Amino acid sequence: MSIPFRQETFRDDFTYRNSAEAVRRFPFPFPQDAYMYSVNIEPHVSVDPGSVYEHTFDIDEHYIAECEDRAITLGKTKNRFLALPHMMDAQWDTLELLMTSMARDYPDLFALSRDGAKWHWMNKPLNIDQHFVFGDTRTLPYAPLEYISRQGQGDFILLDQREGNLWVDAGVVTTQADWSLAFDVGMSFNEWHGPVPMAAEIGVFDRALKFLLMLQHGAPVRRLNWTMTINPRLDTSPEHYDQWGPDRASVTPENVGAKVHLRVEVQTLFRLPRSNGVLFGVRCYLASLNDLVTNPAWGQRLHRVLRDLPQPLAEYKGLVRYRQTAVDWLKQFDQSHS
Amino acid sequence: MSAYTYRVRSQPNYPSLKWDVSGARHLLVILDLDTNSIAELCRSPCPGPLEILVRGEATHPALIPFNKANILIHSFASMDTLIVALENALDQTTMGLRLYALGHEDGLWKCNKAGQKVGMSRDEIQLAQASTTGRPVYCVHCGHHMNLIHTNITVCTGCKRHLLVRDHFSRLLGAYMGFQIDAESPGLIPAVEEVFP
Ligand SMILES: [Zn+2]
Repeated sequence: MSIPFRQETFRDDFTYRNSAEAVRRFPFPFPQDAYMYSVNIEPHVSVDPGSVYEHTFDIDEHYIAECEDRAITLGKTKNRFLALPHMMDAQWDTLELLMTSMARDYPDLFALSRDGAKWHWMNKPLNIDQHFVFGDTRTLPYAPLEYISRQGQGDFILLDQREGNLWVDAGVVTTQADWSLAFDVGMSFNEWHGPVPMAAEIGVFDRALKFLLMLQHGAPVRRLNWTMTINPRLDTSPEHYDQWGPDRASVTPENVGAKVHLRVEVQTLFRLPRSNGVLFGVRCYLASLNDLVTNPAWGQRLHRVLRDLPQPLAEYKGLVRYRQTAVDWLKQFDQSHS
Repeated sequence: MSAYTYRVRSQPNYPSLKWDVSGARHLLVILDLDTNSIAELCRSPCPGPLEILVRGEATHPALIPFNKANILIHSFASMDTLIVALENALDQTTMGLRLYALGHEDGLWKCNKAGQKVGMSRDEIQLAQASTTGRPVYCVHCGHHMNLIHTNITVCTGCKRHLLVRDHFSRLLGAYMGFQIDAESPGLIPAVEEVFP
């Protein structure tokens, strides 16, 4: 299973594109014609060979380019990796989980050999050959969480569990939909989700928290979330809102199909064995409207979802400025106009 | 991003101070001399030894309810010297100690931080807002901290951007988030209003 990695960018000239195969396996997030916020948690088990759910951490054609984009973001802005001091065990837990999963699921790309605490990690796509001592930070060029996140797709957030709550106490966050790790680090689960409208009122987060406090090692779960992004930009952080905010005003009926992207997060949650923390993986998939309408069912459904989305959610997701343009354009793919 | 019309759950609410009878010793930090809040607290006597750190004159009339021989009142001219004194006071054992802070929001969270640093838990620390609702603000673009912001929109003294002051609050930073209000339409700044008197 060799993956043809693409050379592409997620900023400046935005050369990111999806192959037909990447569109085919895109995690289209709408099971119905209308969208409501919900917990929608399911076991993170391997299903549908070839799908984004086949492996614990999906590696796709964008892998190398995403790692390069993350390195740029980590190099340019501070506080995109943060870890409170008590999170070191959870950092090592995460490194172990990623390395063992990636080596198991993609043996032609990654290899891990272990002799007690002496580990040898090989990452062929990124040309990394690393000997290190597990548990000894001096033997890695970065902190363990940063080290392994630089070799993974999507963001990795570590939650500490104490006082009957989960706390956002570490993370590498460079592919986020408009939230700031620098600002949110140290928050409880509810404070972290504080700004989400409507969901709080219907108790979604209280139920999700109760569920996650009971999460068992070896029984990870996943859920989907979505928003939209103008241009295939991974780093839509509040820190750089001044750079990507103007893009929202750049959508026209002529460019909407290429510029407006559905941004789907496959969120995975794992109980970590030593720290009893939780790893929260947020893997971002981007597809342009042009990509999506190659599947007639998706074009029709996306038209209906966007058209009928409650205004507070549209505001929260930042869609207000271009939603109508997108709906008008998508209408041609919804023949029955129901 | 937009100005939200619903309550953000990270936004603190501040019940008024009440002596915690489970405490063995009590430390009250008065950041702003607010006569009404002090009078309300003193409707019941403090259940144990009490020490007070106050910013301002120890002879201020608001402190009359504490004019008893067994209450130590230390007075400080500035926030900085007061916080240093608090940190020193907390350096000794905090077993059985209850910390109370009264005043503006920025100072409250500095006191909270000092308490947490020595291992005090959330329920051993009480914070009550008084005298002003002026907000501490953290600029999400440049990381600059500002204090006592009374308006919905303020100019960042670090990067000069016009920031909308959100309700989203970080207890660790002790500040509300400010983000550029005109990023999507440069130069278009809504009316500036005093909303945090
Ligand atoms: Zn600034």
